[in-house]
Amino acid sequence: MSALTLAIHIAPDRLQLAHGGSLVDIPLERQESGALTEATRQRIVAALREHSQTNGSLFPRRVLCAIGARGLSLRRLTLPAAPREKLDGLVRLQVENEFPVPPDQLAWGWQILGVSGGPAARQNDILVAAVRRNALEEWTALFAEAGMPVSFTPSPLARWAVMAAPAPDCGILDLGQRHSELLILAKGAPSGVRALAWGSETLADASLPPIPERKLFLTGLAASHPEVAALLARLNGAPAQPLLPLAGAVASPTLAALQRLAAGESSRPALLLQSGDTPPPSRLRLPRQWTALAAALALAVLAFPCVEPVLFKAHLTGRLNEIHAEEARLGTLDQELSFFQFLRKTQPPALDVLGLIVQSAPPGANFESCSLTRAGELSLRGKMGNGTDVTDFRTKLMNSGWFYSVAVDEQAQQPDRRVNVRLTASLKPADLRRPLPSASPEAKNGKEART
Amino acid sequence: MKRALTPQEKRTIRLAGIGLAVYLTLFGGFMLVKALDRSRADYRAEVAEARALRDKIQTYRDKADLIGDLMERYHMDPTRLSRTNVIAEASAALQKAATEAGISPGTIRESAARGTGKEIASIQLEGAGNVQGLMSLLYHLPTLGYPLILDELQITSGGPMPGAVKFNMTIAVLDFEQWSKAQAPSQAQEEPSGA
Repeated sequence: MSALTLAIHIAPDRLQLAHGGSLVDIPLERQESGALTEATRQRIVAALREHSQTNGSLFPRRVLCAIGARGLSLRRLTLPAAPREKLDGLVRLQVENEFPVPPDQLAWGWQILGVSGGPAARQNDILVAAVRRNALEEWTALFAEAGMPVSFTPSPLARWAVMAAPAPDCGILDLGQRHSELLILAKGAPSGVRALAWGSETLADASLPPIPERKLFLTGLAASHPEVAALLARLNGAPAQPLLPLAGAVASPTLAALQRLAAGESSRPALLLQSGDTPPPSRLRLPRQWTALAAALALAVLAFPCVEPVLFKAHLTGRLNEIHAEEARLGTLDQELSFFQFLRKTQPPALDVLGLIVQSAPPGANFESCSLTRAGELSLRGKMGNGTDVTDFRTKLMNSGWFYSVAVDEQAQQPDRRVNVRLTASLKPADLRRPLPSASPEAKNGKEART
Repeated sequence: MKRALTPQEKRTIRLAGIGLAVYLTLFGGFMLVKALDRSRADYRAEVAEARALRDKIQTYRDKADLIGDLMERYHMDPTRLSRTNVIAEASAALQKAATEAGISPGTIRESAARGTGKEIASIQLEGAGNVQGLMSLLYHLPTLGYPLILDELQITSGGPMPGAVKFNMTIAVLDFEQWSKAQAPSQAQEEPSGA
């Protein structure tokens, strides 16, 4: 059975729901008006909601619902061969003629039984089934309340659709506990249906209409019971033969037939009753739209690499041309950056050098002149206390890590014992200089800003 | 008079038509696939080019941020410097900065560049003042808003007053236009090798 479809059989006195191998049986309690009691409605809706969701699907299950033979009418029509769309209109016209109630007040459906006639005058043999529309309205509203889409099919036709006809002209009796359904076949197809108000528990009330050829076959739970067979043989005038039970996970032959119809395991499609203006689907093929959508998406994925250049190439080329046109401006950025970098590298650190001289100078030193060039040549002339001061001063300058060399060009002692001195030094490039030892982070930042 | 075709001839014509249709379908399909393949290859090349361009622009975005910081630090936008006015404006800014630092500016001499191509002129400024004023002038020199480089600085004792100094500084004024022209050929030489 399709996991997307739920099989339900509405008998006159109970509703049976098959889900997998389990069976839910709800007795139907009715008010005096014939409508279902509120408690029964609530029980049915709760059971439907419990089984409405499928694993891995966003959508609720569909319901394939079999209704009883009470109020059901069957007609056999012969119509000229035509496309299905035209045939639908022709059948509708025939329904207007065949039934005393207008088609708008009926829930009806049809199916082709076979084709007869030669190639020049082919004709379709058609079976039409109809019930009054108001007979289904209560159930339609109930399924809508549970949020489940529903399709109705007559239960005798559902059973007939999945079984091989035992004889061209016969009767098939489905024996229930208190109600039974008799389907009469003529020339291998249904020609009439009867709802019988007796069953295996009320055999005393049993009566049978005339059966073609007196061939009666039994289905249902009590079909193989000897007392039932004997009684029916007496009523019919010939022995009734039990039919093989329908294969299925549940005991009810109607539910088993619905499950096989939903799974597509039947030789004939289900005859679905059209309860509104929309025509019923001829077969239950629910995933068709999804299959088409998946195929379209797969095609789009495969085609995208080929379509992508067609769609986006023009736009991409235009954008690239625009960017290439603006690319010349990038050169200006390079020039500005290298200009600033040159300015920063070439500027001699005059303030730092003067600060270094002040820090390294011995007490009492007196500088008469100082000269610094962009190339890093430093020249100093001044007076110091003695020769040791000169040596210390020179050593401190060298140890600062800022100079390649510090040379004492001239050193002369004066009468007052002080020393006249002239020094020259060569400054290292910025990236080879050691940071000033006394410079705090703030001072370093200030120095970077100045250089 | 037209002769009716025999079944054998009809069959031959039918087979020939089918063969021709198959050939045309295959040929057309082959051409279509080839054209689509070429179009896809072009498109992929353009996509790769766009990605490379995006990476390149990202590096320039970083450079632009750095340039913005340097402009703010030096108070200068090199592209807005006018070659004709920059010497006069720089000289005036120097004198103003010296005065604000408490230094008496002396002789100012402007001379043409010495041939490096990156300098437009040099300014020689003499002055006298105290040590603090000179330090302040040296501190503000790079942030005057002009591309000035201290070329030479001479400081001598300013007399018997403690802290008094005389100074003579030579300042080079850089020429951004010449700089751009000098940089452009070198960039043009770098790009092919870089590519």
